[in-house]
Amino acid sequence: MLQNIVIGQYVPVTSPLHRLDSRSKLISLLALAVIVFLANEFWSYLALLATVVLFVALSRVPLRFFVKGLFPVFILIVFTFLLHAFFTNEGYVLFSILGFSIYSGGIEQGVFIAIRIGSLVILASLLTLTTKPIDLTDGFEFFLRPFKRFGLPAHEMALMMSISIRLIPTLLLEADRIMKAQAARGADFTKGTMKTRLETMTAFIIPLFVRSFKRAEDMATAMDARGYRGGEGRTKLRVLQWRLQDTIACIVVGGVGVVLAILRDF
Amino acid sequence: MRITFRDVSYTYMIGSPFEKKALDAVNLTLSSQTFTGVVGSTGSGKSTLMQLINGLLLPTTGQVQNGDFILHRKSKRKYVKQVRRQVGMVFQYPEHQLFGSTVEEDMLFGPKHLGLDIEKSRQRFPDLLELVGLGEEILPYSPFSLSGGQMRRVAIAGVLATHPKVLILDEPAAGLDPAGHRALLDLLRDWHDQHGLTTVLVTHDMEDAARYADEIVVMDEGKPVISGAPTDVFRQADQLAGLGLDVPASVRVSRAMQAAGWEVADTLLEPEALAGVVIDQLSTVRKEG
Ligand SMILES: Nc1ncnc2c1ncn2[C@@H]1O[C@H](COP(=O)(O)OP(=O)(O)O)[C@@H](O)[C@H]1O
Ligand SMILES: [Mg+2]
Repeated sequence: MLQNIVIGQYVPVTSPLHRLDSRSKLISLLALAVIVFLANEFWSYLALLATVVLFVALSRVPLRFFVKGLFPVFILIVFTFLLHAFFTNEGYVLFSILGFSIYSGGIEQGVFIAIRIGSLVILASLLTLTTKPIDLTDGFEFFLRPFKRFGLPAHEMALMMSISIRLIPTLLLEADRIMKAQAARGADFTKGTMKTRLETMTAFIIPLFVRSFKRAEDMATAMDARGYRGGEGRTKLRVLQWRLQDTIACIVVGGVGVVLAILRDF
Repeated sequence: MRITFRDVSYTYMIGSPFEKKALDAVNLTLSSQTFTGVVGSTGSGKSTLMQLINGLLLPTTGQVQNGDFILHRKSKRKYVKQVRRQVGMVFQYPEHQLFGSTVEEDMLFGPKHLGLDIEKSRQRFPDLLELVGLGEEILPYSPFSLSGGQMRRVAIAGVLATHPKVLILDEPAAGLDPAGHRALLDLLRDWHDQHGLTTVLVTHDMEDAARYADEIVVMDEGKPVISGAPTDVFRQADQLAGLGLDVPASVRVSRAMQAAGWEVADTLLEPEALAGVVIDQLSTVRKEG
């Protein structure tokens, strides 16, 4: 049933990366997404790979979570690798297969591109694996705030995000309970004719909707009762704190950028 | 039906960092046709234990025997469904399971999906509704147009509609007012007696356990730690207090009376009976005094 769904991706362990402010992690990720594209020859790719490995080690997140994140893009990585391997005609011929000559340059390019995509995915996963969704929203709000003057409802967007995030576990629990209640009455969610499956789904979805609307209503009432009037002049309970470690993190990322820029072939 | 747990362990989200062992090598037998109360603090594994009885959860290790059916980690879907035909389950807030456009449609869900005789089931609806304190005129109404209390009664009628041999009640009276609470448990106990069911009532209300159960099982940290007749279980007030559990007020009162030198047998549990004793003794005291 739903018991194995992990909410968000956050892995609650303690590590230097977990302790960082969400803003420094957002900035770093953005910078790294650019830096990844600086790598263009052996040593720069090696430096990139070393950086990724270092960050993964620093996060103390078990490796299988990264594997899980990589899995959906695995096909993409394999496909681009093959594309490069088959269609690049640089370097010397390594061997021939199905009438194609595989060049050393092709393999090299394939490996490089695979590293590039893999690094991007792993770095992005690092952010969500080490940052609580709620801190992430606060970070987003911080960076969206300047756009308020152009009419972007930054506070409302962040509130919507954090309410959704807050309610996901509650709704999953609710969904699990409803599913089990109907299963106890004989509902089978995986097998059966179209007609019984349809009724089973109805018996699941209707109560879930009813409960969600009820919850939304309760939440709105509770917010009203507490005098919620929107973002103007509100202070925060959890204040994001930029510390020395965050500055250091950004400098380290900048350093990686500089190293890659020096190593790359122009 | 007799229910036996043999070395049953259950672990949630196995293999993730959220892994949680909810039950730890449980060995327990619930005798046929008894009304068992399961008590224990929040998180002690009561609900997990209940969901193993009808295969909503399958044991991580060990097996659960339900009459002639044996459930284990690899039990097949079809087999589990046969078990569910025998077992009715009322969750906390059962009204949340209502979905039908009419009360009748909702009550038919169980019989239909468990493959029972629809017409026969339908004929029993008026009696069932009367039992839960509603009338058959409610059948064509939308369950969502009813009051909260009525919705809960309809939901319970919907569970009883499959005429289960085993009835699992996981805090069925949560959130009801005291009168509604009593009325609901009274009717479930009556149903149990009339149909010779095997019933398990999960509750954290010791008064309920004392009043309704023939047997009590106390859970703590995924294991049954005390079990027996209510009188025997409640005699261990100190041990219960150590588990964060209370004893019923009537037990506390009779203990206090014993300590003060009154003659009170320590088997009393019904508050009414205890009140009778107090009156008797007071009148003797007055006559003598
Ligand atoms: N779906 C679930 N996923 C993960 N852990 C759970 C789940 N359900 C219950 N647990 C955990 O298992 C333990 C036992 O829970 P439960 O059987 O619901 O206890 P009780 O009903 O006695 O309060 C608790 O520690 C609880 O947090
Ligand atoms: Mg429970």
